[in-house]
Amino acid sequence: MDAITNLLATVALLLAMAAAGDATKGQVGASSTPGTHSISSRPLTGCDDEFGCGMNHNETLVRDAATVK
Amino acid sequence: MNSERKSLKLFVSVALAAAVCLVAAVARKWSVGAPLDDINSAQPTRTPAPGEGASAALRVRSLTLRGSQFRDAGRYREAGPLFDEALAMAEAAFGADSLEVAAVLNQLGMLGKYDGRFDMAEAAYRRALLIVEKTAGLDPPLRASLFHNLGGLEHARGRYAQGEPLARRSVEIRERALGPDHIDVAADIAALAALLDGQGKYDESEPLYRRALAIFERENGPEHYEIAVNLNNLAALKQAQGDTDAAEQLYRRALAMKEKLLGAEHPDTAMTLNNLAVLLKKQENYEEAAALYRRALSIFEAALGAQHPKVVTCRKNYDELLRKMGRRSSAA
Repeated sequence: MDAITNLLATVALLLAMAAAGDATKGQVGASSTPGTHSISSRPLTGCDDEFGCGMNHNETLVRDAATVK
Repeated sequence: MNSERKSLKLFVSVALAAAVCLVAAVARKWSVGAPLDDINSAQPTRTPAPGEGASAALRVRSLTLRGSQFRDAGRYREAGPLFDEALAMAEAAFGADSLEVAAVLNQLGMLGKYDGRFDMAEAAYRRALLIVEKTAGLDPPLRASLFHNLGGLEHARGRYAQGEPLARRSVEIRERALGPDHIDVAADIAALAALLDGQGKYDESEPLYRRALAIFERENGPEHYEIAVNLNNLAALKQAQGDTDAAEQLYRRALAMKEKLLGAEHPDTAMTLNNLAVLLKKQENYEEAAALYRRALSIFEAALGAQHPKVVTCRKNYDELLRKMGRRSSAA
C-alpha cells in the first residue's frame, strides 16, 4: 500500500512537472518569434527583403565618349 | 495512525500536482495569447474576413515572390503579369491604401525601372510612398526603400542631380533606424554613390562605393551580386578618371562574378560586357571589343526589346566602334 501511494504521488508530480515544462517552452517560443505565426503578421517595423522592402541597383552603363554628342 | 499519515501524504501530493497543473494550464493559455496580440497589432488597413486574410496574403506573397524571381533573373516579361495579379489581389483583399498594396507597388516599380517603363515605375513608387506616409506606425524600411528606388529611377533616366536628394533621404532614414554598418544602409550608400558618380562627383562617390563594398564583403563574402554591381561601378569611375588599368581589372572581376552568379545571358552581365568593350576600344583592342558588344547587344535585345535605353546606348557604342574600324553600321 505504501509503495502504491508513493508511486501514485510520484506519477502525479511528474505529470504536473511535464505540463509545466511544456507551458514554459510555449512561452519562450512565443516571445522569441513574434510575428512568425501567420503570413499576415508582417512586422510593420521590420524589413522583409523578399516582399516589401526590395531595392533596385544603380548600375553604370558606360556611353562611349565618341558617341555622346 | 500509520494509515492516516499515508492518506494525508497521498492527498498532499495529489493536491500539489493539481495546483501545478492548474498553473501550467493558465501559463499555456497566456503563452498562446501573446503572439495573437502581435498578429492583431499588425493587421492590414482593411481587416479581411476570418481565413480570407491569411490565404489572400499567402497568394499575394507567392505571386510577388515569383515575380521578383523572374525579375531578378532578367526575365522581365514574365514578371509583369505576376505583379499585376498580386496588386489586384492585394487591393481586393486588403484595400487600396494598405501596406500590402504598397509593398507590391514597390516591387512593380522596381520592374518598371529595369524594363524601361519609367513613368509607370514612378507612379507606382509615388502611390506606395503616399500609402506608407499616411499609415499610422510608419514602416521605416519600406519608406527608405521607396526613396532609394525613386532615386534609382532618376539614375535610370540619367537625371542624376534629381536623384541625389532622394538617395540621401534613404540613407538618412535607414542609417537612423539601423546604424551606419547595416547591409541595407550599404545598399543605400552604393545607390547614392552612383548618382554622385553620374554627376562627375568622383571624389565623393569613390569612398562611398568602397564603404559599401567593405560592408557587402563582410556580410556576404567575396562573391555576391551586390559586390559585382559595385565593382562594375567602381571600374566605370576609374575609367572616367583615366585609370584604364584599374578599370580593366575591376571590370574583369565583375564580369567573372556576374557570369558565375547570374549566368552569361543575364542583362546585368551585358552591362559589364558593354562597359568593358568601351574600355577595350579605347585601348584599341577593337576585335575583342566588337565581340563583347555583339554579346551584350544580343542579350539586351532578347531581354529588353530594341527600344530600351540600354539597347540604344549599347548599339550606338557598337556603331561607333564599327565606324572606327571602317565597317558598316550594325543596323545595316
